[in-house]
Amino acid sequence: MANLDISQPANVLLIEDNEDDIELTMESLRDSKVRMDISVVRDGLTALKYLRKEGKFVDRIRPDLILLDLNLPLMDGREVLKEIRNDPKITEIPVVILTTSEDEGDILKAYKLHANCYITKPVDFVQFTEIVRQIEGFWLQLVKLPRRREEE
Amino acid sequence: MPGYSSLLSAAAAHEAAFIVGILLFFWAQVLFVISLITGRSRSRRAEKALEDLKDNLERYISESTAELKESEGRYRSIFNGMTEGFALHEIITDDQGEPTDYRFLEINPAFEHLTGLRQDTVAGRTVREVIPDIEDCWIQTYGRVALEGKSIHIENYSKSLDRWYEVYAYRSSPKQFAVFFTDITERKMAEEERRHLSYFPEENPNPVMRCTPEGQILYANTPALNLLTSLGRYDDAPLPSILMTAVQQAREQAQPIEIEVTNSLERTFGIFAVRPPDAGYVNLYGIDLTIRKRFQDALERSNRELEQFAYVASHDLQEPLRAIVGFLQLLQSRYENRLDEKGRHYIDRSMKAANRLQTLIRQLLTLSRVNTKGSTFISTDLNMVFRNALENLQSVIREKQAVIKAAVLPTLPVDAGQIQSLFQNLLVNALRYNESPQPMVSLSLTETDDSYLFSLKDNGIGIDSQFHQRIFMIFQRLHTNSEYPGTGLGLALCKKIVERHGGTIRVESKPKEGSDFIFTLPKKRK
Repeated sequence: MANLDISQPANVLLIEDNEDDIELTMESLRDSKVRMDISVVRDGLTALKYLRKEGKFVDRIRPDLILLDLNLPLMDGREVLKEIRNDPKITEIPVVILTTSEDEGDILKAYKLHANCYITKPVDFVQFTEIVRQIEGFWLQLVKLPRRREEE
Repeated sequence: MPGYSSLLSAAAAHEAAFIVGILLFFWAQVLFVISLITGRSRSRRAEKALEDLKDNLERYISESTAELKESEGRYRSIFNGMTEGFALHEIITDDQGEPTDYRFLEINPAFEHLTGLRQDTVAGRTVREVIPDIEDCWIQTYGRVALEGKSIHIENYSKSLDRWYEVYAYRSSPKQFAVFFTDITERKMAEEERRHLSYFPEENPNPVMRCTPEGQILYANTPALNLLTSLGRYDDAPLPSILMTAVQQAREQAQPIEIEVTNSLERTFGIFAVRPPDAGYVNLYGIDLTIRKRFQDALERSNRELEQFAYVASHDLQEPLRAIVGFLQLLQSRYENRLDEKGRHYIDRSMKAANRLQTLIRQLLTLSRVNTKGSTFISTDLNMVFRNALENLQSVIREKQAVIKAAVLPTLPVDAGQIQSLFQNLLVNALRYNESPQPMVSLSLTETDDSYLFSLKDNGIGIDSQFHQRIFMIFQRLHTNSEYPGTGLGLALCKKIVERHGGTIRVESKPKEGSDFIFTLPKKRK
């Protein structure tokens, strides 16, 4: 049974700077069975502002899942992950690293910074769609996530 | 020399005193007898006394003569047996008492041996008779010795004999002089050799110095002095501390110590500190490494940059490629029924090209990572690594109905992932470039002292010897992609992996006779 309220769509924050990847990710989620609100931010600093509801993001709902790319402008994904884990208000949000890097060092570092999982984007779009499906199936349907805290 | 001369002069003094003693004794007895004779009337007692005296005297003289003979014999044997040449001469002067010549009185066997002159041919003859072209200065010199009693001690080169002599001459009795001499040619030559050797470090353009174990500088050539100054040493200060450390280490162990110092002028020197066995000092030899170091640094930097470049380039190339493939696939799945045959064909061709590009980028990425992103070397069972490689190639092996044999492999310290990739690349090539109805691949092993030699032999199409080097270079291919697919990176990768492990790789092959890829892996990590 799904752990999210079916009446409410799942909130996913995609932190990704590459427009092609953004579009392909959106395309792969298009036919999803899960109702989702997907927000996109294109650099690390903006991502943190979004998560901390700073400035124009004051009314944003805290996401249920973060899809994080590693190579980002202004602040890279590793630093973003570190900031999330060090911030008690947002530390419990599951973070899925979705990147092109297959580098062992990158993988190890991501898990050391408490990434929830690390996925390398396949070049093949069909495979990519399959992976996105599995992400949403696992994170948004299978596992139990912490309840969204009452907004202050 | 001084030992012998003092011994002989002591002997002469002893002899003289002895004779004076006898004479005094005799004289005393005579006086006594005369007093008896003159003082009293001749008596039997006086006669008896005279008789006794005569007996005593005779006995005494015979005893003394025996003693003298014995002493004479002793000195004679020294004279005959000594290794120094000895000659006794008499000086000959003119009316004004100036020396004009000298006469040989006696020479010892060593003199005969050293000069080639013989006692029976020189005795009684003058030097001008024996050596007609003798320089006057010798007669003057020996004349002063004989006439003025001034001893001389000189080293002298004889042109006619081509030898060096150490000569000692003294006045043995008035108008006579004795000459001792030794052949010092060997010593002189050794000294000359040493003198020439001492130019060695002086001429050396590299720093050479010697110091005590406490750091006191005993010798430093000009480049060494310049180095010391550039390391901040002035005047007679002891060794700079960085060199002192090397000296201390060299003092304690037999192996030469090697250190690197960079001076205030940004020049780098390699310094070898060596303590010769049983020596109370340490030698320091410097080599200017500045140029080599500069090249080395530049090379390392450029290699790093290249690897970094290849890594970033291939990494960043993946992004647009993924987009191309992604959108092509979207086009394929969502718009296929709106395209005609030609349109679908174009998409198909684009997909294939994109896939090929992807393989290329992946391999380039792997190649650039061999040195920078390699794992540490861990003792690994290579049988397991080879099995993993075979497993990954299962479908190709089955499809080609290939037979693969392998010897029992050792356990070696390796980067297992890279060695698996090495096996896999070589196996793929052995199967790919193979037209035989049943491809055969065999991996054999030869053990040497410090490494293992692996040989992967196939019955494939073979390679002309003119390409044996080229195939290991990046992007070098011998076939078009439609003949045999490939990226031209596989063997370059193999080479890089083997070299990172401290081994070498080469091929032995002839067209149509199969190929034998031979590589080595050292037993110990270098």
